[in-house]
Amino acid sequence: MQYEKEFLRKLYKDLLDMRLLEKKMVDTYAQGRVPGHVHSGVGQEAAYVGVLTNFKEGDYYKRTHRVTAVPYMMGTSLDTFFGELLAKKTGNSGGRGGSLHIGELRTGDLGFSGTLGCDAAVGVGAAMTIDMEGRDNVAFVFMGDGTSSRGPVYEAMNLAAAWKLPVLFVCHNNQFAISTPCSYSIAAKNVVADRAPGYAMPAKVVDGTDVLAVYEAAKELLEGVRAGKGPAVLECKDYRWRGHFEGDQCAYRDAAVTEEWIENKDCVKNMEAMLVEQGVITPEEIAQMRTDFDREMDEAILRAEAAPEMEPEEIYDGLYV
Amino acid sequence: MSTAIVMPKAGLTMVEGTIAEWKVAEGAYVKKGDVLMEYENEKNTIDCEALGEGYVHIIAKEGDTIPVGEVIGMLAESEAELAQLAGGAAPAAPAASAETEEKGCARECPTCVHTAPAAAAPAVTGAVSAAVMADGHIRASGLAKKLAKEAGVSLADIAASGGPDGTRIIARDVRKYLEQPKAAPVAAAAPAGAEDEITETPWTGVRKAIARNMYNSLQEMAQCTATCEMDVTELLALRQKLVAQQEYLGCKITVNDLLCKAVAKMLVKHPLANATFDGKTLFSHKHVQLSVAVATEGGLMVPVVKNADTLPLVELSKTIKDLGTRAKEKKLREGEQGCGTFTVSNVGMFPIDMSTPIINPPEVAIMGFGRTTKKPVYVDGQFVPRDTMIAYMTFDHRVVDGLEVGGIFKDLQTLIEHPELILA
Amino acid sequence: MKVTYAKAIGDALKEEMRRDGKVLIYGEDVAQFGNIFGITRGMLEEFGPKRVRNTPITETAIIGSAIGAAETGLRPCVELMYSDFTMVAFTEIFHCVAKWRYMHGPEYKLPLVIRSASGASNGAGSEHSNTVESLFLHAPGLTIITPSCPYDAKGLLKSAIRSDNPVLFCEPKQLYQTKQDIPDDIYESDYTIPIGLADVKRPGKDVTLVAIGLMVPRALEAAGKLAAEGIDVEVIDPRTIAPLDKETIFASIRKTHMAAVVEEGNKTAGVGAELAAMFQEELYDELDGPVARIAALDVPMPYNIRMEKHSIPSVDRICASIRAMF
Repeated sequence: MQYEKEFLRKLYKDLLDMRLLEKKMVDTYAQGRVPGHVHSGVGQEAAYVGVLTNFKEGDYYKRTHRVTAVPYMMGTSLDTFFGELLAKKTGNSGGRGGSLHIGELRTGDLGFSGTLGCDAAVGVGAAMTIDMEGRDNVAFVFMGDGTSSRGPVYEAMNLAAAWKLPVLFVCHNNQFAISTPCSYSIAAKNVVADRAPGYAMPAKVVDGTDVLAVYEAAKELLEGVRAGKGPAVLECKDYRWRGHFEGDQCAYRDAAVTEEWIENKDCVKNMEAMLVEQGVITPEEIAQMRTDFDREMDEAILRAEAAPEMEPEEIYDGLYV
Repeated sequence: MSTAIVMPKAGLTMVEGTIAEWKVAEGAYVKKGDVLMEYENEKNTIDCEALGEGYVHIIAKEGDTIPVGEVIGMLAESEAELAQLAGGAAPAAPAASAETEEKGCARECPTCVHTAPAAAAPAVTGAVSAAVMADGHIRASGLAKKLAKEAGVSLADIAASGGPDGTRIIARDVRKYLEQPKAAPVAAAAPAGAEDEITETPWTGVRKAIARNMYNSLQEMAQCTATCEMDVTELLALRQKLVAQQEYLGCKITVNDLLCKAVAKMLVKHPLANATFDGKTLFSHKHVQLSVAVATEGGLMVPVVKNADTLPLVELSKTIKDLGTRAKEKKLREGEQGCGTFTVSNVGMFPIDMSTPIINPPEVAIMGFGRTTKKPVYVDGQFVPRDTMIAYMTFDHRVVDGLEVGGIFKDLQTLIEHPELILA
Repeated sequence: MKVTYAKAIGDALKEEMRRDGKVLIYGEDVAQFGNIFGITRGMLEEFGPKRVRNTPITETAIIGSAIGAAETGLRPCVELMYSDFTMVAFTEIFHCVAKWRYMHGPEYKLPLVIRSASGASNGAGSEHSNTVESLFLHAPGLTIITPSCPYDAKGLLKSAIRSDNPVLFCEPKQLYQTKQDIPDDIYESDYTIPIGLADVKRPGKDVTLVAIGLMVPRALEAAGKLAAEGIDVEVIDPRTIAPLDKETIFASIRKTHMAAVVEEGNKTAGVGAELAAMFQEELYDELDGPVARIAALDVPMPYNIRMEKHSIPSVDRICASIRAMF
C-alpha cells in the first residue's frame, strides 16, 4: 500500500510519543513520583497506534490498562494526563481515578474498568448509540489476552454480534496474563480470533509490532463494521517487554526470549529504519522530535507536581450529579 | 506484664470508694502487702495493699470517687514498662480478679455460720434507682440522659421503668421525677432586709452511702415499728452498783451496755429476728452479731460486736467502747461493719422518747431505746415515781410478724425490769 | 382511576419514551413477551425494535452496554427481570455503574436505570425472592429507589429516567397487582416525585416506623391496629434508599423519640441494620429506647409458601415488635 509522506510522519510521531510517554511513566514511577501502579506498555505501542489511526470523529474506544499513553494520542493534554497520574486536581477526575482511568469522553474514551472484562459491553452500548443515531461510526473495544478469558467479554461479543452493532473487538495479545502464558490458559492458538467464528464474526490476526500491518488489517475489517455488517475481531500479537507492573521481575519467563523480541520486534526502531531508508524522515529530525517531546513531558510533569490536590471536603464531589 | 490496681470492695454494700491518699509516689517500687493508698467507703477509711510487687503508676487521683473494680493505677513489672505506662499507654481493662469475686459473706465476717448451704450473700443494691448496676453504671436511654442533664438532676436518684426488666431509665421516668415536689427550693424568697445564704454540700462518700442505704431500706422492706414502755428503775440501780465497782471490773458499765446485753440475751431465743434476709432466703444466726449504732462527725457508723451473746458484760462493754472510739476515729478494720444480724440504737442521751428507726439492711430488725423519764406509775394501789424508758423496734414485716414481736418485747421487758436476769 | 403498580410502571416508561427519543428499554423478554409481568406489553409495537429490545440471557452485557449507551447520549432503562439477577452483574453494577463517574470525571454522566422485580412471591424460592437494596447501599454513587404504591412508582420512575445518575429501581413483586385510586387528572399529568425525598405515609407521635417497599402497606395496616391500642405510629417511606432523606426521618425521630425499621430483606446487615446504626450514632440523645429492626428471618427463602410468609414480616409481627418497644 502506498502512503502519503505526511501520513507516515504523523503515524511515526504518534508511535514515538507513545513510546516516550510509556518510558517516561516508568522513569517517573521509579523515582517514586507516581502514587499508584503503572502497567508499562513499552514495546506494545503499535497495536493501539495502528488501530486508532483509523479512528474518526464520532467513534469511541474502550481502552485497557496497557498502553496507558493512549489517551494522549487521542487528544488528552499532557497536563490532564500527568495531573491524573499524579493524583492532582488537574487530572480528568481530579485524582479520583488514577492511571487506569485517564481519558476524556470528548476524545471518544469510554472509560475503563480495573476489573478486567467487565467493561467489554460498554463499547457495545456505545455502538447502540451509534446504531440508534444511524451514524457510520464504530466503537473500538480493546482487551488483553488475559482479559479474553472472562465471561463478560463473550457476553459482549455475543450481544454485539446478535444485534449487528458496529464494534471492532481488538485483542492485544502480549502473551501473558500477569505471569501465566496464554499458551497455558487458552487452548485456542489465536485467543480471540479463533473464537470469533462462534459469534459469526470475521476476524484477522496480525503482527502487532508492525504498525502499518495493524493499520491495514483494522482498516479492512472496519469497512464491514462501518457498513453495518456487524462486529469483527482483530488480534494483534506482540510481547510485553516489561513486567505486568513496575517491579515485576518476570522470573516466570525466559529472559532470552524477551531479549529477542526487544531486539527484533521493536515497533519504533523498525519503523524508524524503514522511514529513514525511504527518506521520509532523517535521523536528525528523529533526534529533535525525541528531545522536544521529552522536554514537553518534563515540563508537564513539573506543572502537575506543582498542581493542587483535592481537599478532604471535595472527596464526595463526583458521586452524584 | 503490668497488672491493674483496682478500687477494692470492702463490704457488701460498697459500690464505690474515694481515694483519700496515695501512700506511695508515682513510679515507687512496692512489694506485696505494702500499703498503696488509703480510701474511704461509706463506712470507713481503709488501706489498699499491693497484691504483688512492681512499680506503681497512678491513674486515679486523690479525691476521686471510683466504682469498685475500676482501675485506679497499674503495677508495672519493669521500669521500661512503667515508662510505657506513664507515656500514656491505656491500660487494658482488667477482668474482675478471682479474689475479688470470691469475697462473700463468709470471708467478710468469719464468725458467721450459715445454716443454709452455700447461701449467697444478700443482694443489696447500693443505689436509689434500680437502673444503677453493681459496677456503678446507670442504665438510661440517650434521651433520658439528655433530659436529666438539662434539668441538672442525677440519674441515680430517678426510679426506672423502661427496658425489658424495668431497669432502664427512660424519658417518662425523668419527667415523672421532675414533676415531684422539690426537697428544697433553691431560690426561697428571703424576708426583706435579711440576705439569705445557701451553703451547698455535695452529698458524697459516707453521707451519700448512708442516704442511699436508708432510702433503699425503706423502698425494699415492709417496715413496721412497735413500742413498749419499760420500767428501768431496777436497771438503773443495778448500773449504779456496777459503776461503784468499776475499779474491780476494770471498766465503767453504761446503761447502754446493759441494754445491749439484754438484747443479745433476748435474741438467742428469737432467731427469726437475729437474721439477714435477701428477699428469697432468711439467714438465721445462732449467735448474735450485734450492730451498734454510733453517731460520728462523718455520719452514722454501725460497727458489729461479734457473738455478743457469748460475751460477759465486762467484755461486751469493753468491745462496744473500743468499736465506738475507733468508729469515731475512722479506724474500723475490714469485717467490723456490715455483717451484723441485729442493730441497737440508743438515743437515751437526747431528749427523744422514741423514733421509728430504719432497718440496716440486710438485717430484719432494729431496736431503739429512748430517754429515761420519771413518771408516776401505778404500783400496788398507788402512784409512785418510777424511771421509765420506751423501747421501740422496727422490723421487716416480710419476715417478722406480730406474734414474734410480742414475744420479743415480753422477753426484753422481763430482762430489763428484772436486771439480775441480764447477768444470770 | 384505579391503577395497579404494574400499570403505573408501564405508563411511566411509555410516557418517558414518548417524551424523549433517547429513552430505550431492553432486557430479557421485554419485547414481544412484554416482560414476564406484562409491564412492557405493547411497547414494541409503539416504539419499534430499536427502542424496545430483547436481549439474550446476558446480565453483564445488559449492564455494561447500558453504561456505554448512557455515557454516549442515550437514556437506557434496562431490566434485570428478577432483582436476584443483579448479582450476576454485581461487578458491573457495583464497580462500574456506581463508580464510573467518580473514577473518570464529571464529563461522564450515566443516565441509566436498572429495573428489577424484587422480593418474595408465592413460592419463587431462594434465588428468585431476594431484595437487594442492602447489598447496593454499600456502593456510593448509586441511587436506589423502591416505591411502595402506584402513585409513587410512576412519579419516581419518571424522575429516575430523567436523572443523570445511575438508578437501581426495585419493584416489589407482591405490589404489582395492588391498586390505588388516583384522580385521572393527576395520574395523567406529567407529575414526578423528587429523588431523595421521603414521604410520611401516616403521621403519629409515639414511634417512627421506617418502612420500605412491600412493608409500607403492612406498616400502615399495623399502625391502624396499634392506634386502637393507644400506640400512635408514624410511618415513613424513604422511597429513595440511597441517597437517604435523613432530614425527614430524623425530624420524625426527634418528635417521637422511638424508631423501628421494617424491610422485606434479611435482618443481618440489612437496610435496618444501617439505619439503626445511623440513628444511634446521630440521634443518641433523642432515642428513648433501642431501635427495632423488623426484617425477614436470616434464611434462604424457603419454597414452602407458609414458611415464605413466616419469614417475611407480617402485620402481626410488625405489631408485636412495636408493642415490645413500650
